[in-house]
Amino acid sequence: MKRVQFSSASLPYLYLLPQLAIIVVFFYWPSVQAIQSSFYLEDPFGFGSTFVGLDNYTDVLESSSYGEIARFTVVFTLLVTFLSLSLALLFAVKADAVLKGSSTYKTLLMWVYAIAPPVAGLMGVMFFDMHIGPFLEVARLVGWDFRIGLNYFDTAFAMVVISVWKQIPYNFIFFLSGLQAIPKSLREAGAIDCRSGFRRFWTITLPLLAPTAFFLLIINMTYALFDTFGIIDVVVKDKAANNPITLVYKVYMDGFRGGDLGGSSAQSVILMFVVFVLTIFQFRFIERRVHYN
Amino acid sequence: MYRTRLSDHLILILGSFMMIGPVAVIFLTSTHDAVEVHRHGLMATWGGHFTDTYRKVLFESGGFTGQATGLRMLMNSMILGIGFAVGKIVLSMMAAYAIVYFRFRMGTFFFWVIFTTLLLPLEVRIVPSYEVVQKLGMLNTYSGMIVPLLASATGTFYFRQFFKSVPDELLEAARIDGAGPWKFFIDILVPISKTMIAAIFIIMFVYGWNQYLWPMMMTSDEVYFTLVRGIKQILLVWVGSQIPDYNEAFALAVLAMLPPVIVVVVFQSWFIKGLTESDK
Amino acid sequence: MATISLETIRKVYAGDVEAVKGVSIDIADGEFIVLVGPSGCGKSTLLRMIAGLEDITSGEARIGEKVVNKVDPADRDIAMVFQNYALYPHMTVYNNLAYGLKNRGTPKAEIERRVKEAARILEIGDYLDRKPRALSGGQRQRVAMGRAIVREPAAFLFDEPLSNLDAKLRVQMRVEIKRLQRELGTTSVYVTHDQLEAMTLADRLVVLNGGNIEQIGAPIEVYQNPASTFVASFIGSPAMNLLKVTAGEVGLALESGSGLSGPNSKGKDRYTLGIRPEHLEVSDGPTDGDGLSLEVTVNVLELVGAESFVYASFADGGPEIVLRVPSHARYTPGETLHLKALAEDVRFFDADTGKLIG
Repeated sequence: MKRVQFSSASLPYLYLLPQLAIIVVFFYWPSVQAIQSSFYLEDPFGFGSTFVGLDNYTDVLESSSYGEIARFTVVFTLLVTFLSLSLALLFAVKADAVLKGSSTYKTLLMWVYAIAPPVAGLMGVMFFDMHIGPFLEVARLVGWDFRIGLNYFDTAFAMVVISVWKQIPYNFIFFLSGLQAIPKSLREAGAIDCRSGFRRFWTITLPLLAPTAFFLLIINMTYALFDTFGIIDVVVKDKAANNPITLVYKVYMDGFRGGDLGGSSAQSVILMFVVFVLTIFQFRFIERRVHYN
Repeated sequence: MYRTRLSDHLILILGSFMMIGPVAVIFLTSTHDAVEVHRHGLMATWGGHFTDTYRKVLFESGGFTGQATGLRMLMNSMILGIGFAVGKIVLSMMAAYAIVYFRFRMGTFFFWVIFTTLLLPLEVRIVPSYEVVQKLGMLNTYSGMIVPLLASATGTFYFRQFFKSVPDELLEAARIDGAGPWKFFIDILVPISKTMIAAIFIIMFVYGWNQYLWPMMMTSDEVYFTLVRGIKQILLVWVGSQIPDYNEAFALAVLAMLPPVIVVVVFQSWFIKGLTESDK
Repeated sequence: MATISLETIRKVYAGDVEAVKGVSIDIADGEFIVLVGPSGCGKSTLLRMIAGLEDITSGEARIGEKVVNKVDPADRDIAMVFQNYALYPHMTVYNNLAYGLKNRGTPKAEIERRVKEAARILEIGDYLDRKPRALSGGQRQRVAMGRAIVREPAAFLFDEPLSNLDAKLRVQMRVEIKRLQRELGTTSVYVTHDQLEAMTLADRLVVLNGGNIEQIGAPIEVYQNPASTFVASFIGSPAMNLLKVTAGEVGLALESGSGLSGPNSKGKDRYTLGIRPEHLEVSDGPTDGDGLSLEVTVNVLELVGAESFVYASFADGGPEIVLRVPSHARYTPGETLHLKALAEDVRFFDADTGKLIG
């Protein structure tokens, strides 16, 4: 904090009031409600609710579909994170290396950041569409009868591709600025000490990028868990039946469409716990990164 | 030193193509008529129906939605994007100012009250949030769409980081110059935060504009539909139609991405600075 | 214009860190006081307490007749020049100067008159419309000074204002600050860790160490009669030679065993002997009498232009000593030198407390 601060009895509260009011009403109230209703069973016709203890949790955790969705969520998250990070890193390293046209490439590779996930989803669905999608013909060449929305694997494939495509720009922006923050003198020292460009990348550039990469790792996991909702919703077109969905999508399906408030809340709380752990990681890391500078 | 190789350019060109290609195809396809698209698939050529399609999407109601025209949805998206960005900046600047520049007893406590919100994204508490908004009678209103999204600390976190980087001496000089808390905020802190405000405005505008799940739950009345929310409607209409209006759907998608893309490309350097220097 | 008086001022930070331990100074009207000391000695904290930027834990600070312990910085009638200048980056130079006056409701015409006058004195009239970012370091420094001048305050407070400038500019601005302060006759308190800056600027020096005042006095007084070994080694460059000696039956002995002959301190047999490098002289052989006489071996000769410094050590090791010789003098490493000094130039310090004896 600052060496010198104002001291006033009322002013700081006045400045905080608007933000606090909104947070209390729209964050704490619903969060507490989620936790509370995760211990209750809501009557489907709206006639009150009964306290059921941890039943909602055990129901959720024991159901086979939840396990399957959780497994898919993990695989999906890992794939999206790994693929979008590595492609973005490749492009960032190359964009950093070229002398001519670097800023043009930068613009071309980052602008997709601005496209909303469901819009990206709609575009993707059209590319994989069974009537008009060009991807089908490519797939047919290798004997792959691609059926989005009908075949579990094919749908998952489309989801991953679209999610990765949408996330590359974000990672690219961070990797590139991370690369450009490496002092010129350090690169020159590296060039003197190490002949092989590839080795230099592994032994000098990559370790220096590690803080950025770690930060992105967490962000990408959060992205894959939550922000891909729009993509998934568009791809499954409200017919989740045999299609892969993620845990967040199930929270929405069960709670909002299925009316199972208790079960959905229990799932929310489980997810809260996952994000909580991820964010604690991230916080600890940001603290560390401050020390680097 | 490192010499640029041809393969570097090849990879970058391939990457750029990967990013632009799909969007270009979608745009080009939107200029063909629906029957043609249905028969031949996605197009990589100019179709000549650009004005027809876009005029229809923008000004005529009753395509995918009953009453909302594209223009109406565009306006709603603008209201959501700008309203969210402005609200976020005002709230979070004030909160960050109190946290960084004031010494008060509950300071640390409120800091944690606000920053805990970083732990839980809206998606995990979406159902109870909906219920709260319903209880408050805010369904199908602009404020119901915007205000609950403001309940997070992202902006406050950005500004807190930035304020902490402002040299202490600036406040000290201003105090010796006779500036009180409000004068210092308005005369000094807000003007020197200009670039930061612009950067956050862009990030938040894009974030607000691109909201999908929340507006979808909040608004059943088409008068409040945003463009991104409209995407959902396209899909609902498609289920069960013989020849879907691909061209109009794509035109709507193009409209939905255009404003945020323009903002991000035009104000690229601010945007990148804001994004990377504040650590989210 | 005003006097400033500090009475047993203490500053204790949270966690019981005592940064300033009961300091008292009386500053006369129009006097230029320099607070000098190594980093962490409490000099900046002291200045900031005068400015009102830090609370005073105990003691009393007065500006003029008024006790200012609880007075807001804006109401203390002081102006401050910061190390990093703290110019408002979004305001033009004119507005930077005018801001404090505007906040005090000074009439527009008066503001303009004062800004123009300050700009004339500091020769910054040409860039009144520019933003600080478009100025060089030296120009920014002048603007920071200007912001202090326009206020026509009772006192100027300077917090290491020259340490961000390059060496040449620093000397130039040092002279200018001195001239300006003479002209305006405003009471000034100036903080620096640079002993040369302190020597050249001050009417009186306040040497601080570990939150305590080691010595207050005119620069020449402090230089000639340092109150302690700390002051002796802090003021003057190269520093005063300090030799810990024990008086024996024949002359004096260093801890390392080397002997030398020199004046005896009154009644003590262990003490520290101090001699400035310029007071040591090369002689042909051992000298008698009550002056200092010692024999050393040359280590290094350092030519700095108008003069040279000879670094030399005793046969059995022990402290390295420095002497100042004319630049034409040539000594080679390994050469043995006999040195002498007048008894009146030698200072004695208590072996345990380090305080000046006599």
